[in-house]
Amino acid sequence: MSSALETARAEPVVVLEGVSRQFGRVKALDDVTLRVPRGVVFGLVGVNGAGKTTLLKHVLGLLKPQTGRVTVLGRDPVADPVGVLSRVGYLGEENDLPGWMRVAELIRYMQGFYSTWDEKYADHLLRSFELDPAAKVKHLSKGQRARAGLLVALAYRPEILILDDPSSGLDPIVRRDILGAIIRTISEEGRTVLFSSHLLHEVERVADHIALLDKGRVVVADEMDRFKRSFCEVTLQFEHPLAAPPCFVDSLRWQGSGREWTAIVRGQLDDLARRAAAAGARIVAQRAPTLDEIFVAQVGPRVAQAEPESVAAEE
Amino acid sequence: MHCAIHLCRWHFWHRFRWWHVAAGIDLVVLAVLCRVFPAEPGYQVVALLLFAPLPLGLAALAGVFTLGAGGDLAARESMYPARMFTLPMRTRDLTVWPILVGAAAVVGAWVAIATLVLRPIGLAVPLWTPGLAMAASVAWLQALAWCPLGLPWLRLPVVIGLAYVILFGSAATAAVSAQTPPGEGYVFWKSMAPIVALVLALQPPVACAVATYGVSWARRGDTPSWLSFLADRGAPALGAVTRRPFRSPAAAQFWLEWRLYGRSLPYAMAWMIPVFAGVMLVHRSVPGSPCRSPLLLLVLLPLMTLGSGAELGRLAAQRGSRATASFLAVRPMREIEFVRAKLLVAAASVGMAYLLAAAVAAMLVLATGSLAEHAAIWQAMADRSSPIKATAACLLALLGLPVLTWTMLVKAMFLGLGGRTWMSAIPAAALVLLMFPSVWIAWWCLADPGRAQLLWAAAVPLAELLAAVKLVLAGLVLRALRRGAVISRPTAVKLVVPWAAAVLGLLAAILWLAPPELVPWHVALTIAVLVVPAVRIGLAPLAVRWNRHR
Amino acid sequence: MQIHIASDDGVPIYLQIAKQVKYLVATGRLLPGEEMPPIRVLAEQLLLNPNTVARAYRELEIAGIVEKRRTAGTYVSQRPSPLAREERLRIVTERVDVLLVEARHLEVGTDELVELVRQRDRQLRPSGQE
Repeated sequence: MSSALETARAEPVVVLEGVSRQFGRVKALDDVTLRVPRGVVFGLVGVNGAGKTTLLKHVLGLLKPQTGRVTVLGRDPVADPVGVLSRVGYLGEENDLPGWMRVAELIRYMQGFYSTWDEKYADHLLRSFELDPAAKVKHLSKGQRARAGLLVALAYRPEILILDDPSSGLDPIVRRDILGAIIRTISEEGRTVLFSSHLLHEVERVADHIALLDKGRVVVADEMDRFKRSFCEVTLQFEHPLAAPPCFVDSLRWQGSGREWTAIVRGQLDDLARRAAAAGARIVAQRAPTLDEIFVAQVGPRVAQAEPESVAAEE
Repeated sequence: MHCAIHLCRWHFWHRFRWWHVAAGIDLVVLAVLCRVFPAEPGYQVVALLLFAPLPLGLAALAGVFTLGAGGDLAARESMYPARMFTLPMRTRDLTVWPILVGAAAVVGAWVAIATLVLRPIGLAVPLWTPGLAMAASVAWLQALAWCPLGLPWLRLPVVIGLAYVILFGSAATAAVSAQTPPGEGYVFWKSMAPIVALVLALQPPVACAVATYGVSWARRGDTPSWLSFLADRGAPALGAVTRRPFRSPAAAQFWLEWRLYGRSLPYAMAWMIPVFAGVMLVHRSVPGSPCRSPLLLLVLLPLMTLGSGAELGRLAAQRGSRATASFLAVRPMREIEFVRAKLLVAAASVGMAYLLAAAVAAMLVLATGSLAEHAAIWQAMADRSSPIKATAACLLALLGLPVLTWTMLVKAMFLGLGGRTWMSAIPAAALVLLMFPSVWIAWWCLADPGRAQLLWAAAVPLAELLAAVKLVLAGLVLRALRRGAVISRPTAVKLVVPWAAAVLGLLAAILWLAPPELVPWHVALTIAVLVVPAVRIGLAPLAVRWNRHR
Repeated sequence: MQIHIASDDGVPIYLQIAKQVKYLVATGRLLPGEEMPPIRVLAEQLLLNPNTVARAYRELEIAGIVEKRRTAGTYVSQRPSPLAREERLRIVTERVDVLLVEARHLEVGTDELVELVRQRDRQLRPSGQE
């Protein structure tokens, strides 16, 4: 019995295998394979339009994969929507709550769907979020609406909490509420959080695992610590000035001019020192880059573009 | 000024350019047809019948010129699209131009129809008055839609009242002017024509003024609230914090659908009653006029659903929104339960409206002392066959009306539930497409009376074929439902048995009540199969599934 | 317990927590035998993943700064940690490095610097103490 439980614990809660999705000519997801283990905070990052929302919609069963397979808690969300959705809590990016409902009516409506609804917890959240039960949703501010949506997604203690860009456009206090909710969820045994965001400093603090999406492809999917440790920002000093940025394997975004060039490089320090020596340079400075810098380097433009001369001359 | 022209060109021409093209082709084809066929009474009737769905076309035009009829008809707020308030135009320009362009377009359309289609076939329809009347109606509909009102649900009956006025007015005018040889009414009408035309022509400018006033309120963000003194006292009690939780997901969903769509039909009926009572009393004072019986109120119910039927067929969480709400798509509820909630709400809505109508009709019958008239009708039927059959027939009619209304509401659901806009446009497209073959067939019959007999004789086997096709389709739909595990085996049985019972019951009733030489058994069976809905209701859960998992 | 996490730092968050706890213990703001906040509470307070806080606590436990008692939670070690002195020296060494770099930039010689330190120490010492 306990081994079955352990196997269940060890299995990933969300699995996407070779999922592709095309909208017209745009390829939103391109052969995406992802495994979300149980009990972690999984952060999904990417620029706008990278495919984060599309991926989350596949997990919820709102989109059918054109190729590949999606498995959530061991079931197919398209074939068994009730089994999956009754154990998943969802807070979407768009303002989807019915505006005409009062907060109390919204709570009462949602309560009818979930057998695991915890009334005391819902009351506690109602008070700590300072929501007026008699207020209509359309009269609430954006932050209050986010809190209301969060309340009804948390109150039944779902096994997976899915948040699609929950902090977009919200004030810092609401963002703290959301992060607090994420952490409280994860503190409870066996529950998982899957959220997408482009507030990378938040993802850095809170996520155990990270997956980086770019143009529908999974560029990186790894544990947060391992991911951050594998990158290093080095400054190389060459013997002779270079006109163009040097070429290194696994290097991202060169910046600099003349003899000194800086880049974020993937690899261990001693390995980098050897490669630098081979290219006729030495490492003069190195530091651990932040997630933000790695992200910009990974998916931003290849080389920092300089402003055209004519524009600068006019100033 | 060129902003306004640009606005009109974009909203009325560019957005609907394919519809304009289709309408143009339509007109050309009809014009050709009307020149080909002779100007005889039969053909004229057909040509007139072609324009019987004109009120629907008018409603569509009103929707276009109201700058998109998206938005809640029953809400207090104005239906003018708020995003246009940030354009660099005065409020006057925002309202006057659409109204005037709309009026001009409607008048122009009527003039084109009259000169190209109706007059060549010999119908001497007036050139200006109907066009002006339609333009006035559209202008007032626009003004009504754009004005914020102080009471929720007020706009709905006012619109219905206006629609009633238009229908009544046009029907009366058509009846009077179609009298040949011209009677007294016609002469009177002709003499009044210039005055009437002037009054009608003045309507759009007045509507402009009203609309400008209303839209300026809306642009400021003000919404009048005539019951504000009541509002915030009672509201905390409505906070529903103390209400008991729902017993099941089905109960919760029923509550949601009821709040969204369930109240429109009873409200519309409630507002319709005074209008109907007034008209009926007027008719009763005129001897010999047809609409005397208060029981006509009951017949109004199916007619009223023609407009509100489209509302139910949506997976939306807000009134007036057509977009599928992911809020609903993410509920852990099976598709069949979504559909069941809608069916129940439709039934409750129709039931409530019908009970109200029946109570008021009964009161009116007693008040106007027309119980004897109705009893005489029943007596005539009883003499023809037997008292029991007469009573049964009356009961069937009385109970059949709400059931018919329910089926009308529910049959069209699947088109909207699919969530694709092109599906909702199918009825309109089908209507337009069916127009030409039916016109052609009608004219073909008129050319030679023998062909009409042929067609009539062919109608019965055709109906039987349709019934057989329907049964086959129903079987396919059932199989699809079972294959997709949308319904379980016991549920399938629970669906098929009542359907079969309804068909057999209806068959028995028809056979018993109708004389056998008029309605042989196979015709009765065909009628029973065609009337009881199966295919379109069965498609609804499949449509929900198609919508939910794209 | 006041801990500040700088996300721009590049240093892993759990190390930042461990370092700051060591500093607090070393400077006496956390007394031996005092209870550390539970992992969950600290995670919620700092808005961090509980696993990160757990890792920091593990680091501190390995270093001997804190000890985990079976049911009662985590407490600061009773026995004076030998690392306290090391920690203090490390912190001061960092400051000395910064000072030396500055001095080099501003072309102040090392002997002059040492003399300056002695002079300032004399001035800052309250009178009567030596």
